[in-house]
Amino acid sequence: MSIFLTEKPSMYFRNDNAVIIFPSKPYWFSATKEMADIINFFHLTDPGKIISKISDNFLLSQEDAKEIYSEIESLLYSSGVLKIDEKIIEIDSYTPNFQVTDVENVLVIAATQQCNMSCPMCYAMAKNKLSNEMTTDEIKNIVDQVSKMPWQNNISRIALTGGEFFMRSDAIDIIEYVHTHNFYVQVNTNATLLTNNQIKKLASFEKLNMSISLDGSIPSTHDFIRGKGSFEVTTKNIKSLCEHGISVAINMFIHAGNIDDIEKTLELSDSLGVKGFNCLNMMNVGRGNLKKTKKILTAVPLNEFYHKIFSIIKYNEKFQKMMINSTFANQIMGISGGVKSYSCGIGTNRAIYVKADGTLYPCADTAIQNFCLGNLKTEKLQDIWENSKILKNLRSLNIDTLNHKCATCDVRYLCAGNCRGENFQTTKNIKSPHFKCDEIHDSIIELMWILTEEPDLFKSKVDNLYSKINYAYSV
Amino acid sequence: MKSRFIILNRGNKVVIVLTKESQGVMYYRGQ
Repeated sequence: MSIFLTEKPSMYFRNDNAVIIFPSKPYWFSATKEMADIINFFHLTDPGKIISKISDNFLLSQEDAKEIYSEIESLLYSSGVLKIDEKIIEIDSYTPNFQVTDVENVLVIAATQQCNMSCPMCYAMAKNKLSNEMTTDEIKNIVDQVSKMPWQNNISRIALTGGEFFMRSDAIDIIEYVHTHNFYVQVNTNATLLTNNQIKKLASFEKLNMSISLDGSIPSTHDFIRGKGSFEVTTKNIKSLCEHGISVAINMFIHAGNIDDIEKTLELSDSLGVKGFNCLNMMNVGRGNLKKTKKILTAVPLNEFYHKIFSIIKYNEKFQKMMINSTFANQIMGISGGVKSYSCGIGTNRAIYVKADGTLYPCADTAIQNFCLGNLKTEKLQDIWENSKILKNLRSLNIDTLNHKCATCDVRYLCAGNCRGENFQTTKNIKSPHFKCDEIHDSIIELMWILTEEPDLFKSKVDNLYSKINYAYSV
Repeated sequence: MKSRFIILNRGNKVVIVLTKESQGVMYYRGQ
């Protein structure tokens, strides 16, 4: 009998443990460092020789050595990274019609550029109203078009944002129109302009989620970003929305100045009746890319960002439940589930973005002139979708051919090049390695260490992922 | 002695995702 690994794994060590990655699958697992040593013996290709080597090296009986070898052999063979006498577990293929990451396809309509705040990191660079913003009918026309698009994975959610969405006097009318077209409605807002009458009206929509920015548990941390006095109004309205039975999720923007306030902000949100909580790390897009912003806001390194969240939710089931749909939970699910991605999804209908003037972009992070696909005031969505050269180019982006560094990286299919829009806004190159490449790479390894410590983190989400795949597989 | 030889996280099942325009997302899976 002879055995061969399909590829040389990469290994990372910390304390007495190892994370072992087979990049092309991708498959990774973690074990004590001695197990990594044993995998290095696999070059001997003969199980008998490997067992003897284990026995000699670790002063174990042949019987114990054989037992340990068998466990590793079984794990690697069943994971498709070990050939035994030229036999290997092959990958089957199929085409289901659901979203593997559990995140629905979303259309984002930034219905106004006008905002009553002027946050230093705003990706939309919102402040003043544009002279040519869409009318109510023009927005409704987009909703009509989206509901008729021949997409296999259609958009199920429409996010209404701005600027500040409630600067528009037709805000409730638009929400109602989207809702009656059977879309789930998400409204991104700072919640400072809501009136009692509007809150009562919002309570009548079943498929509505209010996604509200709250950047701290006390006025000083929140108002530093959002402006003086906003904490008091925002928290009052969050409480009122929750009391009216409306689903509220918090988006907390994280920077070095408020990272130590995450736990208390979670506690405050819970006490207000909030169900969902997300932490958003600072990105280099929009106003976040300006030098003057970087003088007052410092991004938290990704490793620190992940570890902070993990340390807060690790022993707190309530917080884990609140964060089940967060970016962090999605990252954990991707790594824990071993989702193999070739791109961030740019060019698909995953998260397309319409600006207040009707211009269409692949996503919020590519909402700049270079990626303008057309204008929905005068052009048909379907025509743009089928004929845009920009979209055609973006759809061809693939981690295997993006650039040499990405194509040979050991976590390439878990990273997929990260956010191409953010990278373009900084490097002006859509195909280059991400400008934070090393930091992102290390953060993916860090997530594996987190999962080494807590293998069942967000287990229900990962199980849900697999259950959907099993379901599709059986169809 | 054998406590030195432990698999701590058996890792992921194998899932492959391809993004393909207008087909939504294509998936391949092993195991």
